[in-house]
Amino acid sequence: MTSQDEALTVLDRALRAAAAAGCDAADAVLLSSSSALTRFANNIIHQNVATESATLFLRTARGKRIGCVRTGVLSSAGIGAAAQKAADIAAAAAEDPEFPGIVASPAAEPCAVFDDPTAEATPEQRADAVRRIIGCVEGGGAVASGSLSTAAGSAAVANTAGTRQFERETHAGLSVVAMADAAAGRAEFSGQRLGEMDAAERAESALKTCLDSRGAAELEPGEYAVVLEPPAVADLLRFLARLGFNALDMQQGRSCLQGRLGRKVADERITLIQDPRDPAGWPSAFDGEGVPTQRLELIADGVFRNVVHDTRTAAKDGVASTGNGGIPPNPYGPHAAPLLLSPGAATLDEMIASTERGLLVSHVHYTNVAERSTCTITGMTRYGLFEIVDGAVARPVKNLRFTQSVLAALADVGGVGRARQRFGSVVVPALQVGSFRFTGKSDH
Amino acid sequence: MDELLGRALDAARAAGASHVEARVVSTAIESYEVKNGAPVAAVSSERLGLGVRAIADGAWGFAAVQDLTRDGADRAAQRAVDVARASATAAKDPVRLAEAPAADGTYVTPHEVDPVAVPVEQKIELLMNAERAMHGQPDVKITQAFLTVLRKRTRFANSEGSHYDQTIFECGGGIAATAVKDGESQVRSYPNSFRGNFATAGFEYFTALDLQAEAGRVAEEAQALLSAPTCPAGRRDVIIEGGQLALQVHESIGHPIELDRVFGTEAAYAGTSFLTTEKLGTFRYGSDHVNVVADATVPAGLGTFRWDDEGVPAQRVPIIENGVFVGYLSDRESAAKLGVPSAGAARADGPSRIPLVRMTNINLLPGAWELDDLLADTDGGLYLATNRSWSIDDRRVNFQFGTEVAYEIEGGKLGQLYKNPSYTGITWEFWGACDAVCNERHWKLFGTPNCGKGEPGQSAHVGHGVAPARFRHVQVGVVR
Repeated sequence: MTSQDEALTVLDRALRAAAAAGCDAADAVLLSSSSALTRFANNIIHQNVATESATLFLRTARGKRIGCVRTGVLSSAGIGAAAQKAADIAAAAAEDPEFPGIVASPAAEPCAVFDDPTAEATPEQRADAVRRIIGCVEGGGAVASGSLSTAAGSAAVANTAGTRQFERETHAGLSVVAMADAAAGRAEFSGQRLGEMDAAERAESALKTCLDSRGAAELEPGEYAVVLEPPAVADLLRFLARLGFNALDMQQGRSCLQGRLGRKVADERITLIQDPRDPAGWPSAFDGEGVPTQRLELIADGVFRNVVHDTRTAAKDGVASTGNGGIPPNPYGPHAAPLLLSPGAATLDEMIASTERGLLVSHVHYTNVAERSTCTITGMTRYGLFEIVDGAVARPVKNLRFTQSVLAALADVGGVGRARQRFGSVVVPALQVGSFRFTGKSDH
Repeated sequence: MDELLGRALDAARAAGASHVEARVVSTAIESYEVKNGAPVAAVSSERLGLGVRAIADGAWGFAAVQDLTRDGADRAAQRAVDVARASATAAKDPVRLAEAPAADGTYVTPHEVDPVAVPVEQKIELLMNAERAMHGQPDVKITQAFLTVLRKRTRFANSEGSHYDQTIFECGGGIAATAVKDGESQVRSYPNSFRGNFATAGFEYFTALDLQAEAGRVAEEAQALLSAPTCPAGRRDVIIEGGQLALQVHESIGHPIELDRVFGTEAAYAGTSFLTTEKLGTFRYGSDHVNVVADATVPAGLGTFRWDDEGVPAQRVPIIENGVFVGYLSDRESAAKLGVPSAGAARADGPSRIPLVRMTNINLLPGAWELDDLLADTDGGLYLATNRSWSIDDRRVNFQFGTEVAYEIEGGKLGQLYKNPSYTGITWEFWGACDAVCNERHWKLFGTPNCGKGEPGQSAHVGHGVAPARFRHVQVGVVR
């Protein structure tokens, strides 16, 4: 992993090379990481990898003509060649009239978490944790699969307008799947510190869901009330972030929240915040353009409050970037993250108890957009689906396909969970939803 | 590079490895997007790295570095062995590999024009012309033209004496028009959705797509979709066009035949497969009209190469014969478990990733029908074209797809246009309902450059040869 001095030296070299190649402005990003992932299946470690990487991203401008390069060759010669290539592309490109220019940003106060024990985690430590997981799951009569990853990385941004940003972070991730016959359960951990992971507890959780899922009955598709556990909520919420809050989509007229700014779009118990400095999420101080990130209410008490901007969409709307830019060029527009859905008052048991008849959905799988204007998503349930009858979990049922508008679900919320769980950069509680549309079934 | 590969092999063996593979991979990619009259992305990427995979104490370890020096090779080799030894503490049986002939030689994708060497000005001009030709429809607000070119050189050696130098060229692109009105958006694409179509080929492949010639039609169809009725729900006979059928093959045949999935090694992520090993040679996957091969040798397929990332030669493997399941995709490890030779399908996404069982070109072989005859024989059916959405369960049983367009088939012609079409089914029931496949005149290769699998994530470039085919009594109109 690259230090601050090393990273900024590489970036300055790239900016000087761009100037020497005839460009009048440039910005550069350096991402570096040292990561490892131990993967297990069938109660053994079957894949185990360790990787070092560093990539320089350079955007050069000749007026409004832009050229970009990415390279992993960070020698002086490699950087010089990359800068010349970017300059050549810029010279050949037509003008991009909406290029906002390369702007100066104030230094962002670092907020990412760097944890030495996580950065220094060894293959033996990961294997130790995996052996404990396998022991627990196998001891319970099931088969363990999953992965345990640790990573340390740094991000640096510099540009010819004077922006200089650097921060480093660590991450640890765990997924545990327990399987017995056709039944399966899953539990995850995602955080900045490996020491916060309780591998045994996660394994027990996956095992319990797996064992509870055995003997699943067939259930006909249809409209059901649901209690969505946090993993399912996180998956669905990512689609709303992708299709709803992006200012580029809004400018193009195709956001699923088009024309609804300032209006009620969800139940009043729904408050969704982007907070890059909340340690509960995935803290980061600046975006891919070097602009400091910021806290933003996306939905407050059910009302759609803000879209997110990068420098391009901000310039078009005459506002400031909200620090949601990707690494240039990013034709997809700004992306809202990290997302924190505010907790409610209910426990999971209370939400189940207040559901007369419905389904408890643990996870969803292979979700995709079926219709973007309504944020309608299709996917399968996975890792535990249970029928609720008279306020109690009655029996496991086989997986169902759903085709459901996320916006309609958020407008039909009957309860919001008290406890939240983190999945990457999304932190959510469970949700109780009045009606959820299931459109097909599988054989397991 | 030969010296570096040799050093990595020697260092890993000295550290205690019983088997070693080393790959130096250099990749040059150029990606362009012109949108609404301006080039919004023109990116050149260079990647270079060394990956070392080793078996020590009977278990796998892997390490990758970008530092292509002797020190870098030593570090990668030692780390791969250290990681393997850690794996061995949670192993049961030692890894076994199917026997494979030693690779030896050089291969370069047949091509006329090196796509990386074509001047940037020429590439952008072609895209600007194609994008401009989509202008003029009142509600078409987003017009895009795409081009991606790639040159990937892999130098491979293993401790069994294999050694090869393989350069793959890829090229492809497309156009898309998006009509937007009152919060609704509708997309129409050519020659396929999600940035177009791709092949292992030179720049001549891209110029032959002739994007500009199709641009007016694409924009008109996007505009027409805004006022088209929603595809009605019901059980219908459908003819599925090549681009959509390619993805149907990908999801409901290509993934379930991956032998590592069958053995559970992807269980915690992408999932497993319904296609358990007792079904080999007996399971009725589809009707007699369904014949499928995994063919890494077919010219221009996006999954075409000479050797895979374990040094196993490219092959044409029967998968489904007259509707009966007869073969898997495999690598050396999964093949050994089944007691068969590797199918040559171990493929890695660059030097920093391990080879996994991946698709090559999973091809539905042509049937006997002319498309016009098939349309004339399908009155009252629907013609579905160009993928818009996809989803399938973790055992590859229940799927649902959306397409950009559907047309009512009336009197042997395409009639009423519908928007937001979708269809769903169960894999073996769907392929069992196939009663016609068009002939070789309509057979075409489609490239899928973004097939995701594995942890850490990998993206594979795979191909599918298909001709339009008919399926009876399919559930359509799920999305409302």
